[in-house]
Formats: sequence, C-alpha cells, structure tokens
Amino acid sequence: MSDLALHPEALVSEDGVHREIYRDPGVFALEMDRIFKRTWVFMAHESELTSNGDYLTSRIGTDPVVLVRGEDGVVRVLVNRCRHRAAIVCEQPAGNAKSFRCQYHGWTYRNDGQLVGVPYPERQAPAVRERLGLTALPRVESYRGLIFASFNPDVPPLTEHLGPGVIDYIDRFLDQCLGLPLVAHPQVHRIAMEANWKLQLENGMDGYHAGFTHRSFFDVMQRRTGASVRYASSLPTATARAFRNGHCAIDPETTSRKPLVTRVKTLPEATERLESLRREVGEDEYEGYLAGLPGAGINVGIFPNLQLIGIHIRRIEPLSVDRTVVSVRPLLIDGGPEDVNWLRLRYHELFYGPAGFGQPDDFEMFERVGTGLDDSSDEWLRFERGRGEEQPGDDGDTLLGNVTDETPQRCQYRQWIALMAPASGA
Amino acid sequence: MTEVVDPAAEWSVTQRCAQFVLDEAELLDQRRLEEWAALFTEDAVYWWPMDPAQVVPGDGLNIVYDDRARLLDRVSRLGSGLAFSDEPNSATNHVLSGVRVLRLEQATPLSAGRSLGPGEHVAVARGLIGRNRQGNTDTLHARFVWILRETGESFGIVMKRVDLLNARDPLPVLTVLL
Repeated sequence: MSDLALHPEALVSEDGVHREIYRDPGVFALEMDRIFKRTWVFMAHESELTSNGDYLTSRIGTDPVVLVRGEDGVVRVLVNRCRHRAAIVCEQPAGNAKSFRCQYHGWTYRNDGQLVGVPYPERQAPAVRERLGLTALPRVESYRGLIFASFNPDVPPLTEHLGPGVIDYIDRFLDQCLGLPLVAHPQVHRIAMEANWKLQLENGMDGYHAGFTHRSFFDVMQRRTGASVRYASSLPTATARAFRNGHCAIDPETTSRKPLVTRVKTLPEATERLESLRREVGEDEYEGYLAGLPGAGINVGIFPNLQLIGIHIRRIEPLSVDRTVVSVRPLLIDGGPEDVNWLRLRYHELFYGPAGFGQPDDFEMFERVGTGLDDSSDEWLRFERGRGEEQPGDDGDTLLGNVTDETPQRCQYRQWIALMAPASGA
Repeated sequence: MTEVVDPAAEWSVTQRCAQFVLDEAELLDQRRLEEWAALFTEDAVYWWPMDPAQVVPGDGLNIVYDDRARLLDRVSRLGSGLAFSDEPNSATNHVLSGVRVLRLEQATPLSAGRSLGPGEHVAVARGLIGRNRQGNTDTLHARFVWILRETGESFGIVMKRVDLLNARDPLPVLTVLL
C-alpha cells in the first residue's frame, strides 16, 4: 500500500482535497475496499429485472457481480466468479436463466447461487456443493424500486442509511410526472472516460459549473426558445443540500423549471406530439404531463455511485484510478402516453450521451482537471464556496447552502473520509 | 423509389450516389460544416442509433437523433468555440468503401420507416473514420446508410444513419460529425 493510502485523512481538509486522491492507485484500491465494500452501493432499478430468472451483470466497485431474480422472486446479488478457478459464470450483459454454468470446467450454479453441478464428482473433495455456492452479498434492499446491495453484513437498514432528507428528494424525483410510476428504459448511454470516478461524483451535484461548462447548450436553447436562461442564480430559494452519509441534492427549481418545459417545445416532432397528447389526455392533465416530462428539475446524489438527474438514473462505475464508466439510463412513465415517453427520450438525447449537447463537455472538464493535476506546485483542489454560511434545515437532517455553493462536495468528502478510516462503520 | 431495371441506368445512379457521399465526407473532413448541413433536406433526419436492428429512429434511445433544426443546432454549437469537448477541434478522416445503391426490397428495412418517394435512393457503405484531437488518434468503425433525393443535378440527404460498430459499448465522447 502506498504511503498516501496509509493516511487517507491527510488527503481531505475541511474545504478541499489533495490531488493524489484522484491519482494514487493505492488510494483507489483502498476506496474499492473501504467505500464500495463497506456501504450500500446502487445496483439497478427493479424494472430491469421483472421476471423470475432475469439477470444482469454489473460490478460493485471493481468486483464483478450478477443481479438475478430467483425462482422465488427474490433479487440476489451474486459474485460473478466461479468458486473453483475464478472464471466468470455469466458473460452476457443481461438475460434470463435458471442457472449459470462456468464454461471452464462445467460447474453449474442455480440462479440463487447454490452449486448444483460438478462434473466427475467422484474425484472432488467432500461437500463441495455445500461449501462452494456463488458468494451472495449479505445485504440487498431497495427503496421505491432502487436496488442497493452491500458486502457489509452490518450496514444499517437502507432507509436508515439514506435518511429522511435525501428520501424526500428521491421521492420528489420519482414522483416527477404526476406521481406516476417510472420504468427503466432497456437501453442506456454509457460513456467511458480516462478520469477518476470522484470527478463525476462531484460534478453531478455541482450547481456552479452549468452556466460555464454548458454555455453552448444554453446558447442553443436561447436561440431556439427566445428565452435567456442561465441555470444557476444567487436566489436564496435555489439551494444546495447536504444530508447524512454523503448524500446531497441541488435544487434550482425556482430558476430552471419553466425553461425546462420551454425546451421540450424545441424537440423533434414536438408540435405534433404535444397536440396529440393534449387531445388524448385533456387540458388539465396535459399541463401536468408537460411539467413532468423533462423531469423534476433537481439533482439527487446518493453516495457513492447513484445520481438522479433529469429523467435518468446515473450510475458511476469506477474501473481504475483513472478510468471510469458513467451510465445514464432514462426513465419512462410506466404505461404513460406514448407521446410523453417519446419526447422524454428526445429530451434526454438532447443533453446526454456521448454526442449530447451537454454531458460530453463535463467529461472534457474531467480530462482537463486530469492534466492540471500533473502540476505539483499546488497540490490542493478547493471546495470553499459558501463554507460557514450554511444553515440547518427544518428536518434536522439537512444543511442548506446556495445552489452554487460547494456544500454537496464537502458533504461527499466528509463521508469519504469517514468510510476510509481504518475501523469505520458503514 | 423508382425500380431501376436498366443495368446501365442503375450503374449511373450508383456512380452518382457514390460521388455525392464521398463529396459529403470531404466537407466533414475539411470541416466545412455549414456547407455540409446545407446538403440535408427540410424533412431530414441525422441519426446514430444504438441498436443496429432498430428501424425507426424514435423507437429507441439513440446517440444522435436530429431533425434538421437540431442538426443546425449541432453545427452551430460546434462552430461556437464553446463546445469544449471539441476545443481544440478534432480532425476527421473518412474512409468509405464500396458504396452500393440498394434495390427496393433490400432498402425497405433501412429506410427509417419512411416510404421511399420518387427519385429517392438508399445508399449503403462501410467506413472507417480516423479522429485526431489533442495528440490522440482513434478509429471509429461504422456502417453508413443514406436516403438521397434527386434534386436535378445533385441530391439532398433525406436521412443519414450511422451505425457505430461499438454503439452498445461504453463509448468515448463523440463531439464530432460522422
């Protein structure tokens, strides 16, 4: 282990982080062990696994896993590694299966992880089936369809870990369109970047950058809608919020909600489809659908790897200290009007994905940060904005700052240091 | 689509379409983006799907799905100096191979759910696109499909479809035109 990884507390101050937090492979290895194995990690939306036998492969930190809904309807998270000689037992991204077979030596596991088949068992050491089922994560819980898992058997119940502050924001996000249930789209944008995962962690909850990093997007929208809009303002009603356990939110709703609806009208086929929607659902519901179509207008961050933004679920997937995949999966209205779901996808494509008008410019900034981190004359990055001016919220679970404050980033790094300590709880 | 039965006439259409799409790629590689955008018709679609089996652009999640207005936005953003993921600009090098013009029965699954009108042709090619930016060069692999509409001496692009070979994998940032 590197010296830096031996003393992670030296890498975080009250309002900044040391550059090696993004660069040191030893720190990354320790994060995989102490963050991704100690706390709840977001896995998937339950609508990705609707039938018994449905599975998808994923990772927790860098450990390969399979999420699978067993024949008993229970979603389990199994380590995707044969207990014999370590080959993965499931090589498909998703599908439906009653069992998984390691194709190296033919060991076969039922979809609840039980080892049920070992070829030529007469030469096998005793009780192999009892001893060597796929490793099942000890904890899998979900909140309103968001499935989390943990390697840590002692992690508190999920809802207690989340707490009332961020749960209120998760609810607002999930109730974004007339409170109707949401369903995950089967397709997902996945972007690979040569940058550390925490740059996305910070950026998804950053209400300061949008007007600058995404100026070209706002310019395009201004030209198309005739309305001048900047994302952030210093209105006191536009807030950044820190909750317990590194969870946070930014809530610029009062400044950005109406423009979101205006942008919908610039989408392909918008005129025809909105008219068709109005005819289908009537005037009152039409206004409700239109308001909810572009999402809740808030960003919700659940430490360490889930962000709820726009109409999508964003999952941060660290691969190594300087490689990360970010997946953004749109949510549609379950059984909702076809025109609404069609326009939601177009709205999402406008900003997000590898060729969107917004998200790629965030990734460019992450890579520019990576180059800047090569400098050793100034080793610190600063999250000072609004420090000391935050106010406690009414619920006792919230610290409130202005939307451009670095309240969320300070909150995230408080949790980072709490988890990285040698004998941390969850 | 007019069914071309005369082999000489068919060959002539293929040659004209091939010349057109090579000229089109040249505009991209010379970064003459506004001239490039002007090749698209008012009802055009510029489309990069994620699923090679997808027929209709709106039926799934896409990497790019532009109507003409959005395409002009895209070009304008790239020219603004503020599309930071393309600053400094990337340079591209399109290598297109074997441009074919499809007969009607082959063309239908590739016509984006449109009924082909008179004077419209469906052309297909495979391509490699080299991309250089900031000291890095990568190679994109794609199948291209065009619906081209006769305009007299040339064509208008009614649809351009780009199926990236790795469209379903994690992709790098693609602030670029293909």
